[in-house]
Amino acid sequence: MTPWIAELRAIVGDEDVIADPDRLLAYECDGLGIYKHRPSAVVFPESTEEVARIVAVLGQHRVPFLARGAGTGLSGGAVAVDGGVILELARMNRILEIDYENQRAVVEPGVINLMLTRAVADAGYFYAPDPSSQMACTLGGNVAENAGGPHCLKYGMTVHHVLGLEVVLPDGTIVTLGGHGTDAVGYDLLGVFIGSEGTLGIATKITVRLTRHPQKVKTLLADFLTIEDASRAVSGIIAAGILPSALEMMDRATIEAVEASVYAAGLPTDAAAVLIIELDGLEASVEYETERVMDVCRSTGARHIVVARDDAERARIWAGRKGAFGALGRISPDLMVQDAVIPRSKLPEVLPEVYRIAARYGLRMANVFHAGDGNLHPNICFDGRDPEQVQRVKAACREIMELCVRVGGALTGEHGIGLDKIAYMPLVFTEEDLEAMARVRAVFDPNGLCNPGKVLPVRRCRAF
Amino acid sequence: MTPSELGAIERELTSLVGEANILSPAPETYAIDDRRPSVIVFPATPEEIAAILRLASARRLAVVPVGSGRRLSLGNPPERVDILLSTRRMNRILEYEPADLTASVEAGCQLETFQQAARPHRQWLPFDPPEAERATLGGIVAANDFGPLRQGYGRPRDYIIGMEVVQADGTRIRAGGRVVKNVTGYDLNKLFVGSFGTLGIIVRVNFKLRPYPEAEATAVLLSTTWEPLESIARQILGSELLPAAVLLVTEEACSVLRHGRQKALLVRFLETAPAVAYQMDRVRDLAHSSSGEVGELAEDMSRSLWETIGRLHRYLPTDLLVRMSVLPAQAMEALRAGERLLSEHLAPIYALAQPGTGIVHIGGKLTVEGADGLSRVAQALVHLRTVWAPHSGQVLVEQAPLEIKRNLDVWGDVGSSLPLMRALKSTFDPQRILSPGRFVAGL
Repeated sequence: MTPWIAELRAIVGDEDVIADPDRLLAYECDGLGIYKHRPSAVVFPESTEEVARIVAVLGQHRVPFLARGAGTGLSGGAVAVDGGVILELARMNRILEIDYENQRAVVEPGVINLMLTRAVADAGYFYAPDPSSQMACTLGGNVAENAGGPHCLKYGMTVHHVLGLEVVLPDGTIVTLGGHGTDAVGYDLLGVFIGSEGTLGIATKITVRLTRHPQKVKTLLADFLTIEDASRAVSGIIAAGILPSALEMMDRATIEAVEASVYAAGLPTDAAAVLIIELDGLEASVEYETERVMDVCRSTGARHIVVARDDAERARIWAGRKGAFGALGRISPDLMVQDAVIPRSKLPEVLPEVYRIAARYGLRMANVFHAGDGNLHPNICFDGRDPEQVQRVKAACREIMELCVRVGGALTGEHGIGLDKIAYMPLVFTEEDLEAMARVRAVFDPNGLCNPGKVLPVRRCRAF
Repeated sequence: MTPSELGAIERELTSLVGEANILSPAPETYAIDDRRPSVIVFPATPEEIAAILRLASARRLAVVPVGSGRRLSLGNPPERVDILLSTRRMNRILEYEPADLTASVEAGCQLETFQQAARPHRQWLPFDPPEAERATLGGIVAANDFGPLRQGYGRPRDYIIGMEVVQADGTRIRAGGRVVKNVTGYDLNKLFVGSFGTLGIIVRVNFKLRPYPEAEATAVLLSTTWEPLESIARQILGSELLPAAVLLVTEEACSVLRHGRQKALLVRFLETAPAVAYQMDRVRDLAHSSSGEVGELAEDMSRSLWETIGRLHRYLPTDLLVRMSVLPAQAMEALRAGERLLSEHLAPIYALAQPGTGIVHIGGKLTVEGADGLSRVAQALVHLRTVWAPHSGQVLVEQAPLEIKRNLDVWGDVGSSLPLMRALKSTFDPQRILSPGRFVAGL
């Protein structure tokens, strides 16, 4: 046995270091199943100090490592590509402080996203970023990925809701980034760290902003007979100067899958697409804007517009939307949940092309996505056991990425680059751009031990 | 720099940007603290800026980028200033896509220019930094400069979706992109926003925009004591109301607003017309329960009040201006503590507090002079920092005479992340040619 295993056991106890190859199987991939790499060990720290000591030991032995929360990520980011050690942070799951007066909370990284919202709901607050996996994903993982969700259209991403972090740097030093409710002095390292996909260090304490519940929420469901009409409705709403809290699209393939599943929300299975439009804020504004949204939908060819009458109806619509990935997942052994962003005015032009690409590769595709900010999620059903199918999926994904970049878009809106999209990075960034990112990485992690092989093309992970 | 060295540099710069776009020697008004730049240069393109930085790298010349110059007083005294690089000629809107609510501008483009172009589409950038009427967007971004609208809209940082930067060695990089949601690679926009020209020179910025609100109104509440105003502010912030700005101001500041000489609470609403009306009603109700009158300003009157707020330090004698950042619930405590401590040295003294964001400004005219007097003011500021440090409070000295700046770091204590910042500075600007000395800890 490698000597550092004993050193890790001395820090956290024998039980809390897994090195048995069979038990390590559960950690060989994340939510994107196609990349499988078994870690050499998994360790379960319970405090910042333990994380720091573990990282210091691994540093001495030049063993690569990465932090992992719930493993729900969709870009292969929480996978030990080179047989490194995983620090599983699930046990660091305490809410340390809730401070309503200053609208903030301090949590450990293993706290599940939805648990925080539930903890503050009775006091009239919520934590705004709401990725579809919010019942399982951890806030530490959200910080690493700069997670979004349907409501980030109005409320912003994780980076807009995290006020400060305690971070264990890859050399074991503990630093504070940002303030904990007050402005920090100097460079915005907090902003640089959030979304760095676990490559710059490990967040061990997170100060987040809490948001007050809006006075009024209204959820509309509008269905359309063509995807183009639905896309024009999206553009029309944005152009009308309305900022919904969510503006989501589900296509027919998604609707069919949802309606055939436990998430059935009563969606019209004969529609080409439905839009879920949520407006929130002051009652006076919401009522007024609801009328205007309905006008836009009617003028762009909506067949029916249903307004949720109560919280139960609203919850049912959202259960259908958030359960869509689960519903699609049952159609085939594997599901590639893609993620790309385009300027929202390009939706009517790009969406049909995305379907044509899937058809050309003979792949079954369903689109369910954050239409309001142009964040596409083309989902491809496939069988990962069939290498030829996997090749077709990858080829189709590359074409979709190239298409999105061509119209001025980006490779990912919320899932991250991870392992999956490294090869596409040169589509959007020059050598010099990537070099600047590599320099930032080298400042935080000069020895290249922290989640290596992710985000940046490997060949530029060199020492400075 | 010897006259012959200066002559050589002038010649090289002339060959890069043309004779008409160089000013040498720089007029006294362009001095940063006690450093007068040798040359002011007005490039027109990123290529020209790259060439200037290559020249500066080769000769180790210190370059300070400047937009409107509003914020040149903010920062530690510079180590050196050889070239002041003005973005004045790079003032175009490069792309504006109303349907996407995104835009791309050159760094020297003025906020006002952009707002006017966006107005017909009922869109805007919700920024209100001090002296907004002359601010450039590059300057706002380099300083992450905000005003009272931070309450409802956040900071410029939250609206930047992409950037182009010329690095110290003249290479150009792009960060982010043109879409409103993007996690492709590291977000290097964050590295440059608020970096005050110390890591690279921002030449282009892409923003996401907001719909321009349909209606606007400001409620003005006056009182001889803080108590009722604080209480109403707290009730507003704890209610369903969504104010765009909430500000408590002292008598001295209030007098400039032409609402008499009292303490005042200003609450700005930017919303749909029915929602503005509803919120003004609610404020009226809150005020009546504490038997106060509410002044109501709509549209242009409201806008002009907030423009005046942005120029207070121009209307009131201001030698010293301090910005505190504390937890929101402690804003008024910080205002009182700061006033108490500085009233000995400032007369008249004025103060403003944002009870929703914890931002407090205290400014005034110094009553002391001479090295001894000014060093006592510096001590008072350091003391203020010491008192607030345990509460995570920060004290930034936005404007002060050189003698005070020499006795403290205007930015305050960076804390445990300083080694990372030093390492970033030395990797992005190894020769220290970009605004050396002005940023935190003399970076």
